[in-house]
Amino acid sequence: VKDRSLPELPTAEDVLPPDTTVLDLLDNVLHKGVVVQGEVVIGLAGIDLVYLGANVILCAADRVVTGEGRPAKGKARR
Amino acid sequence: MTWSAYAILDRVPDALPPELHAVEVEAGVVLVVGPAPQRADPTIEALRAHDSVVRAVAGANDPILPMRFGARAETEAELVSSLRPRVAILRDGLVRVRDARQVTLRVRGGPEEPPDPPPSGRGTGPGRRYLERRARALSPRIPGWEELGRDLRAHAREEKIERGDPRVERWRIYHLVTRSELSAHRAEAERLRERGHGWKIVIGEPAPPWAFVPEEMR
Repeated sequence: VKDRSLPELPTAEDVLPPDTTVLDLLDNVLHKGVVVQGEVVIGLAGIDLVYLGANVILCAADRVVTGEGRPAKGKARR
Repeated sequence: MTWSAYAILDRVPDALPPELHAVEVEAGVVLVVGPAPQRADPTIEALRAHDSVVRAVAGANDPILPMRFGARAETEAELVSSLRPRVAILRDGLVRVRDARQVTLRVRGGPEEPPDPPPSGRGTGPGRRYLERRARALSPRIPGWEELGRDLRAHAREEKIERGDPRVERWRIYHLVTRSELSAHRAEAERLRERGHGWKIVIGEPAPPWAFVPEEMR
């Protein structure tokens, strides 16, 4: 039987940079920190946190995907 | 002109890099802003520039709450007014991170999270199951970390755990570490890394407390 296995992919260890600077950069600067957009309010853990997560993802993805400058006002409102 | 927000401080600083200035939101809450390019493309260079400004401010000021990349407006007043309703949260957040830095541990290898437990007991409808899954996703537990990380956790003021990006790391562990404990925390983290136990741990350098801003503001 012909070996149809795919070529071996690099492991995370192979592609991980020697330091974590870029990872930290993406993790912290793009996904952490205080946001000002929207009137995101959470009272109790649970449902409201879902809204918060959706807002955060929406903002970051919008910038990454379109790259069209500052997001429109109110984009992150729930 | 477009203004970018970089950090929240608890007082107007004595000195800032020349391109930045501080605006008091209310007593005890000060916003550091600076001119920004009109476009907010999240290129690595732009993120690095934002990070370097935050680090520069953090190097001379404590406590500090870093602002996420992309917080910008046409006027400073617009940024200030968006923060004003939440100054109480910001004040509490500043107290929380006073005299502390963030250290990030990236765990590659190590145990996987166990599968979700089967529903049991009363109230096991789809809504409840969904909320329980959300709660587990927001507060994941690493099997064995409670015991393995005990000595390291003794040097941390707070700990937060997130699932990582499976292409890079399995878990991310954030510690909020008091400055005077940073050396001891690092030494213990090195010991933990050397002991291994099948875990591969990448220890980050101390950074501003990005992961410890108030949850309500993230």
